[in-house]
Amino acid sequence: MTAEVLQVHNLRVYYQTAVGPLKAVDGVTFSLKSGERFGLVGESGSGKSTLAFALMRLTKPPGCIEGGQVLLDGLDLIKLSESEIRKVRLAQIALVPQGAMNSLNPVMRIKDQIIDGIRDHLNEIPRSALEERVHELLKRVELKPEVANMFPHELSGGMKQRVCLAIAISLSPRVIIADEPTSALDVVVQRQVMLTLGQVQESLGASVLLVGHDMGLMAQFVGRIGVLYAGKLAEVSSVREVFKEPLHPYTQLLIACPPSLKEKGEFKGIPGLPPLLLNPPSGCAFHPRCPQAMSRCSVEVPSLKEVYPGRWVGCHLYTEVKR
Amino acid sequence: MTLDYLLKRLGFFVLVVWAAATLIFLLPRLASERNPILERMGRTAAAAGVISEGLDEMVKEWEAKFGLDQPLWRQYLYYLRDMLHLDFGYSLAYYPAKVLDQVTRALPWTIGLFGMATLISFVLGSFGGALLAWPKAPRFLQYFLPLFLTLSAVPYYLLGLVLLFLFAFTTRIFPLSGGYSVAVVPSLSFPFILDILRHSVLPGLAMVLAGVGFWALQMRGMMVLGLEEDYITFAEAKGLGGKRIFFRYALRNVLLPQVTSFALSLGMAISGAILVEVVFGYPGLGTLLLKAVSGFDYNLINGVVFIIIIIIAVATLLVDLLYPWLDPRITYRRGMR
Repeated sequence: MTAEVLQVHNLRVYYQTAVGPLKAVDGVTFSLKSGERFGLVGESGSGKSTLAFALMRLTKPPGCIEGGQVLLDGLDLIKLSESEIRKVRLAQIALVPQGAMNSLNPVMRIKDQIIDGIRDHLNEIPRSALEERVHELLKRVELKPEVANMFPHELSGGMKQRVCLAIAISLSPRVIIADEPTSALDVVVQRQVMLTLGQVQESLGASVLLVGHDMGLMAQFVGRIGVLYAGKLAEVSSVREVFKEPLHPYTQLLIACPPSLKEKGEFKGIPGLPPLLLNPPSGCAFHPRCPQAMSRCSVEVPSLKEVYPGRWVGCHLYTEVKR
Repeated sequence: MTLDYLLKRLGFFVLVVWAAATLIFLLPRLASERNPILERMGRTAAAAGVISEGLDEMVKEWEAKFGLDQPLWRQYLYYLRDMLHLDFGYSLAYYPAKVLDQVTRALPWTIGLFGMATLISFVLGSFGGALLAWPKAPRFLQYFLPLFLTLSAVPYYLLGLVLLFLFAFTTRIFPLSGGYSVAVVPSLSFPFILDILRHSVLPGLAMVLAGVGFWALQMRGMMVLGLEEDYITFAEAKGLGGKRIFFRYALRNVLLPQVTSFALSLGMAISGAILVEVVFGYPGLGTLLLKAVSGFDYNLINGVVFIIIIIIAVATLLVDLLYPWLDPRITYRRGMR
């Protein structure tokens, strides 16, 4: 079961602005194995949500997918027509949205919001079968069947997020993209929702792409992690290795950020500000903030290379592994 | 919806009607230098060509008959009692015609024309405005908005005059005035209905043309914001069809403030409709009101204005009762919102 379900090759998403293109996602390459949990982290504005949306072709103007490939079981989603991609959404690749508070239609009953997704993908299904499916889905995300007849404003934040989860898995997709699914929830509910997401994912055998900036959450949930900086992947490794021995200087600073519970110390940040993507620094986008920057870094853009087996880093400090 | 809410709405309805009734009782009587009986007598006398003697006595006699010699507070109490029975008394200027008969004769014309025109312009404008904000809508729609916006800046009656000149006076496609042709016998037959429709096209068009731009502009503004909502993005991620997202997600939610503003605009719209009726000589409440005001006919003014107020109050009440059904977040239980 190591077949790659989702392969992203050199994906570029630009926002067209009056003063030129803003390269929000600039040549990102990674892949998701079947049943794998992959985390995508990065600070605000690093392009992680833009990337997640581009994978489902949900990029809206002024955003535009400039190039690259998104292969879902070998099918290039970028090349599909509008009606073809519509059929792929939810059925093959589903989204668990970020703002669960506002992601449900306030004037529709929960069951109707689950049903309409199913109905727009499959041919005529009798109403009774649909209702039964709704109950089964609600049960899977640990909600009571009464929720089906409720309106979104009658649910708590956690319950709404579970409903979104139920919708996302309603057609047993191959890939679930969870875009900061718990950022609006408190940590207790967050944990419960993530546990449910994990269970559901395992029972479906789907892959999960978890987008977020909560390193603690990532450490607990995902197997591999990709660190995004200024629209490029800085590092891709198993989550354990990243925490044990981060390779990219940015990842090193990121891991060092949260203060330890044992020794009460200063809250460390990363000096400097994230780069303006309209006018990014030359060479490696991180070099103005990098403590280990060399003269080469401001000239040459480092490419993502495999420096140890299974560990990819985009930094001039490392050389490609010899095979 | 609860009984509590229903009672509250009904109570408010009664309050509005009472306040309005009091106002229309007081307003014409504040103009104390005019006397409707004297004016009527004067008209009759002028028509007859003689000024009969004892005019003052006759005026007094009639005032006693209409109860105008009573102190104001007693007139007011009688008036309220009569209003409860929808008894507006006799028309002063067109005695012995009863006000209620005149009003009920004019009412269907106004309800038909005004109601249809308002609904058409609301539905057309809202739908068009929503499409203007929809990225997948045909581009040519964009060219209509400036046209209708310009038209909505023109007052109803002026638009009516222009339409009359173009389509009734110059080209004679539509009749110049009236609610139906003089030659046609009123009956529930197909030719008669067709005749009514032919007569209502121009006044209706005047109201629709003047209203559509406003609704479209407002709807487009709200729709642009509505399409930014998270639930639209999630609906797209669900792979829903464009039509379903447009109607069930975007339009459905934006409709809520639009309906509120519809209810609020009814009063304004009906005052415009009155002028349109006058321009087209349409046999509705507007024309009747003009006749009443120019004859200084207290009772007829009372009757027409009172009925108009009831129409607006009933329409507002209907919208109020519709609201919990349109927006499930609005519950009218005690202690909530």
